[in-house]
Amino acid sequence: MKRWLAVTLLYLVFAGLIALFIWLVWPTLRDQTNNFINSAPEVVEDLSDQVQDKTEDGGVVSSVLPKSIDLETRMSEYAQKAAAWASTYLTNIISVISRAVVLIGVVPVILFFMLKDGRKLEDSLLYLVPRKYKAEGRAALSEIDEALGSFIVSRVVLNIILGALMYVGFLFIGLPYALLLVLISVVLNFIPYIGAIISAIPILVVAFMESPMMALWSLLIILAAQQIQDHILTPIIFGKTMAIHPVTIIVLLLLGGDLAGVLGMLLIIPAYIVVKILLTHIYKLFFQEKVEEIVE
Amino acid sequence: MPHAKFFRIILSVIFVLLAIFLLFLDRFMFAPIVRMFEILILPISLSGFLYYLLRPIVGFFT
Repeated sequence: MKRWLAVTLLYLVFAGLIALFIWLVWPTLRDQTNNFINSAPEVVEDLSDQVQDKTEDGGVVSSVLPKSIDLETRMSEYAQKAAAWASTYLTNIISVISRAVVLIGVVPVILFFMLKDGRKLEDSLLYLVPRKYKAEGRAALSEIDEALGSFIVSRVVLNIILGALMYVGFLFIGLPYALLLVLISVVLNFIPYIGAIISAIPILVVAFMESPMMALWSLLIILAAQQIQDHILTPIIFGKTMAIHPVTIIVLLLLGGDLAGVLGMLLIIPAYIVVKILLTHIYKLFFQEKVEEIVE
Repeated sequence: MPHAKFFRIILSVIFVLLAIFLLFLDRFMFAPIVRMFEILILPISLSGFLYYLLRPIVGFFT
């Protein structure tokens, strides 16, 4: 089959999947989102009551929380700050919508040509490399291509499995807004380590609003899913290829977050993979022999 | 001349440092490039992400 035909067919399949998503999943997701937004003040109030009860009953929670906690005031302060932040950003709503529309319009076009002419991009990049180093350049590009491909596909597969595990668990314990919370969690889990912690916060808040027992069960489900991901799925899917030390990942995430926020945190690991492969090849090509000579 | 290589290296280092100094001094010169980067980074990275995700399927079809 011709490549352009394959890409067009894929687009049609993709359009079908989006239609199926809109038909099957979207109504539930929309209702959950609307309900969540509408019941946000009640969530704060319920949470405040729950914490108040637990503080007054002299249990374990009361020993952890400070006596003088005024959660409602604190929560309303945070809500005001969040509203101010939202209004600052939403005043520019036309710009946001236009950017989203441009993104929705532009990405499929770029993607179409990337999928159709993937190899041509590699050739045009190799034009910049002197003839003497073309073979090495091609090897580096192939390595980058393979590493990025396996990294992205593995992460997506891992996060989908993690999301499915959590969703089944949350349905089992009857957690409200399960689909919405799991979707947020799946997106945030693309950020290693930190994403799992950030995504657990809204889940635990909603669960705690229902009952402390529900929060405990939710925490257990999150921990169990994370452990299955880390100790069973990751070694199978990732293997030992592109193993990055946890300390390196944390340093990279701090840098990425500081440079470009959440987007920076999402992009910093693939960028590190590219830079690492390029530097390794440059070192082998230009410096390895000289360094070995000096050492000997 | 034994010192020629040494002076060449020193001169290169000075020029590199000067280039870095000028880069920080004249930031406005790079503002359009930075802006262009900011505009392109999201669609390009999103396309790249989807490209690696869908490439195996395209490979399967072809």
